[in-house]
Amino acid sequence: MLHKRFFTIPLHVFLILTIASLEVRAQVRVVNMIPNDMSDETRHNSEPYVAVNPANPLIIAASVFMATPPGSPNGPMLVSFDGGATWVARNIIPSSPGAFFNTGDITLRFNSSGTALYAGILRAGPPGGLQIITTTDMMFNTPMTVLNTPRPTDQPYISARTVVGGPDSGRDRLWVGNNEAAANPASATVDQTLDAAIATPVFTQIRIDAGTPVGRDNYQVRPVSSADGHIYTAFYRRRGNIAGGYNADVVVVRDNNWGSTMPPFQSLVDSVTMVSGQNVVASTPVSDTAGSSAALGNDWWGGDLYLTVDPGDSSRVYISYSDSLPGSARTIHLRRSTNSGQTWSPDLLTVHSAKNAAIAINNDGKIGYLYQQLTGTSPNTRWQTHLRRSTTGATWDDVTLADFPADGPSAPTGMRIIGDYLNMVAVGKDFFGVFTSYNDLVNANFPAGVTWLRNKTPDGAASPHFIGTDGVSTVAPSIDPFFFHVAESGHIQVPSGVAFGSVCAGAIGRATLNVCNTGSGNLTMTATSSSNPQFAVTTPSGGFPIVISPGSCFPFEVTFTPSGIGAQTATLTISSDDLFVPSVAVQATAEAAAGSLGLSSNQRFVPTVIQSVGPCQSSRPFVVSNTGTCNLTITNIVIGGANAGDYSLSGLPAFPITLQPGHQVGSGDLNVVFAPAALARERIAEIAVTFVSDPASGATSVQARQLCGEGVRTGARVLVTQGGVPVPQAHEISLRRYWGGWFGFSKKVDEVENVALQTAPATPGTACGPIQFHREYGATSNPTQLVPGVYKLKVEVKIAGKEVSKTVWFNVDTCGFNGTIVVDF
Amino acid sequence: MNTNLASLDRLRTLKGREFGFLSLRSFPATRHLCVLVLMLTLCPVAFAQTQSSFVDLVRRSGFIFQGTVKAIGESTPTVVRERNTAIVTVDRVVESLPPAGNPTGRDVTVRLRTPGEIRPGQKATFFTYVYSAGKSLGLDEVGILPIEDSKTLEDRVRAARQTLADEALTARLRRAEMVVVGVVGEARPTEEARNPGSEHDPLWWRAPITVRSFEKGQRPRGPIIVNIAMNFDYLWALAPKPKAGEEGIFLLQADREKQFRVSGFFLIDALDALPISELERVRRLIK
Repeated sequence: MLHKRFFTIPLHVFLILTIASLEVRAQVRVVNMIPNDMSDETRHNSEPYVAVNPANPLIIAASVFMATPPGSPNGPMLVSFDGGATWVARNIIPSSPGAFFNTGDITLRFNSSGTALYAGILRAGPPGGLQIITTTDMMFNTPMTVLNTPRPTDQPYISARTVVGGPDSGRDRLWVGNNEAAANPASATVDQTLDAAIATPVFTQIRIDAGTPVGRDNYQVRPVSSADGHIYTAFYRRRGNIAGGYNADVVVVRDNNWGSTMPPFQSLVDSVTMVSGQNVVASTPVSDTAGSSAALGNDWWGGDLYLTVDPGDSSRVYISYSDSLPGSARTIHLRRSTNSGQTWSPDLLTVHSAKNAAIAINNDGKIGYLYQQLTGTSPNTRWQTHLRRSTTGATWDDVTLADFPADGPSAPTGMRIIGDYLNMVAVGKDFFGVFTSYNDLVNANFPAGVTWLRNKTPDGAASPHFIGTDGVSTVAPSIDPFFFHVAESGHIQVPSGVAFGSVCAGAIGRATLNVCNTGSGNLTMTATSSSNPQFAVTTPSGGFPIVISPGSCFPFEVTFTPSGIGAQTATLTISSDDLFVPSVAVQATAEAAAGSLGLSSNQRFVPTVIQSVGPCQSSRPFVVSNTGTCNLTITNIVIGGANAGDYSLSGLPAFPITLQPGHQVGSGDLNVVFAPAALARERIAEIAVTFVSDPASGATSVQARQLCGEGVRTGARVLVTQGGVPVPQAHEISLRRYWGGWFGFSKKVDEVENVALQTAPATPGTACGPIQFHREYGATSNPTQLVPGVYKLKVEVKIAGKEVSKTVWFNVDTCGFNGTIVVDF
Repeated sequence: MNTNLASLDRLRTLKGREFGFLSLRSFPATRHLCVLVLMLTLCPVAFAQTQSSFVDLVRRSGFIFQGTVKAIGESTPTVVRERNTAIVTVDRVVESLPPAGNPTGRDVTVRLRTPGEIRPGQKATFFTYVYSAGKSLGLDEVGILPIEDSKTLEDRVRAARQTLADEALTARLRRAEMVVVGVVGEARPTEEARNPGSEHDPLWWRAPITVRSFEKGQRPRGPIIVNIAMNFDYLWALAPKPKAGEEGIFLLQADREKQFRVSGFFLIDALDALPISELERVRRLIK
């Protein structure tokens, strides 16, 4: 009843049960990415980048500047197979043995089908220059393959996408933005291949700046692709040098057809200059510190550029760029275009003294904006890593992921400590990102929490510090890569499967399957299915999708409608937008049961006087019962067989009848009546009970019992025994009938000598039994009946050579046959 | 197959013959005398080859250890199991270069070049480098040698490293236009440093050097100016960045390829600036 009520009131009111005991996952998780086996690591690891496999977000690849191990021809890439909880350094990036850096600038992308990882790198060691590399080994256990011919260029920035639909469906396409000095002044370049997965893809270099830059375009060239083939690229077009930097246009170009439009990347024309490429902002000053200092947070400051496109709407494009306008030096600006880059909004966010911006848009169109900001004033500056999120672009939250001193004695030493890029991506609703930060257990803060893989002192230690691989040595703090995951989606949890127990066939079993959301965002359930049609998850009245809020459960009704008898199982699959577990399978079990027929055993009747002698009969109760736990339907009870006419049933109800568990047909008054028509040792028949053995299908079964009776005339049967054992021969048996009451008249009826023991065996397979006797009257061996009256039976036997005798009196009535006269000596 | 690999393979073969390391266990006793005779015959040649090959083994290794094979075709946590991976217990670390650390007593995975040559329970010296680091190390085998006295082995490895370091410094000394002992003066940025074309540019700062001795080359007519790369990016992070007043040995390199837009000498490689304490070594190698 509970279920019915549940499914008749509005969904949003009743469907969500808040389960207080559910442990809801933290929304933001920060993980230090240095693996445990690299606990000795103290290098400054800067400029991280991350790619998340869109087909399996548990697989994540990340890069950061690290050393290439001596001897190894390949440098490390950090990979995770558990959604970023733990990391392993796999040496798969082509490098040089012992290189101080595994690679120069590097960016990574999975193809959108999740079968390949692509990267653009500046190769460490010979031959140097830009290399575009790939692997289809999703265990990242084999070195990446070089796809192109290397050449000197700068800041490779990769976008990858698998074409879905159309004649090129399945092809991987790559766009690698870079800045190639050989093409100065229009150095903004995109290396493009429209079929990257073949053995030797063809790359073309596309110079995307159709304008007239002065000197060169700036370093940053950022392509981004959308699923419908719109390819955008942003770059700085230098317009002229100024003190400490240059004036530059922030330009966005677009190609409407995968970069294959002729000429490519000229689909967007500036609304003012009519030159290919729309200025987001024109001739804005960009400082270039050409070095770093404590006052600059020990880092280089130059242009900063990030471009992304809404995965749900290729016309919605977001850009972050930096400038150094007077009075607001080195400011990053986040802007949006809703018309494919033709016009741009005012700043959605403006952040001063910030760099290393990254933008990600999730499936709901929510904006994530990641950057690192130098706060405070020297010598009390701090580097803070912020994640800002907004659903509209108007109001923003602010999560500080890391915070460490940039100056002073507690600050990390060295220059270019965090580098000039990081990255964040969205998969589904979730955001995944990487940044670098000082890892100092004393002076660095991680307000959203942090997990360490490297050895360290226990939490709460008086002097917290890192510990080396030997488990003893103190390891100095350094700049490390950090991964973060922001769970905007729910996390499905099904506490248990469904066990119906026994369900009567013909009935419908009902149970509840709780599906819970232990994530930090809403969980949207999209479908359920069952592997066994006898089990069904009831679709709620409002249908799918169903949204479960964090910390709540949805009570699905599951029904079991048996179609047969016996144990049944099913796999119930619940599909949701849980990013890591898109479908959960749970087991459902049930036992489909039916009523169970209970019958009396085979029936054997006492010798009964035949109808030609008199209206004589004998009867025996016959129990037909339901010994099961479900109802049992009896459809018929009939008597058949050779002498069926000798038998009948009394107390028989009309059929069909349904017996409840424990009940009997006729309430226990059912009897089988035996009225033999002929003198015979065995008069046999069979009683058959037809019942519904499978209520689901209506199939019936029959169970039968044997009936056996002896047809006799009025009389008796005598067995002579000694010590309870039949004697082989009685010396003499005589029978006299008495009448006249006190007068004592008598008449000899029978007198035989040397009477041997007789045995009449039973017919196998019948309910009949063997009979032993020495003399019988009114039965098969001596059909002469005894008339009703009183009889004196005298039996003589020889025991030890001496004759001994016994006398027995018995009575015969009108339907009488005394079959158990035993004379024992 | 390059020369190094060829010599390494010869080493593997010779070692097997010399010490019966992997294969002699199966030799019938009657053959041992023949093997001994063969060893004595080959010994001088084999020894000569072993020395050069040993240096090459060390050159190509980042983690050298003595260990006991635990299982073949298995792997330790976070390392992919392959047909040729073996779990080896690290009994003693002979040389560990970052990021290997000190996993003494722990199990590591070694990706064997020829897995059929070694069996569980065997002890050996493993020359390897790291290919995976997570909860345990994955190591690619460079070569395997029989167990020998650990102190002797450490001395041999140390000597090989010194040989390699001397080779590298010798090459750098030969390439240098001039090698001087001197003191660096105040550096000033060049136009290239003030207005770089790329954030990967070296950012040359020019500084005079007051020379105290010339170890290679002649005193020029004018002052000696050295360009110091002030960039800390991946290309230039290791380039020497001596501060004003710093004394040292400077291997002054010329811009033979004319790739820099400034004149003078350059400090490019980490070996281009050495402490005075290295002077005797420099003089020995420069001859």
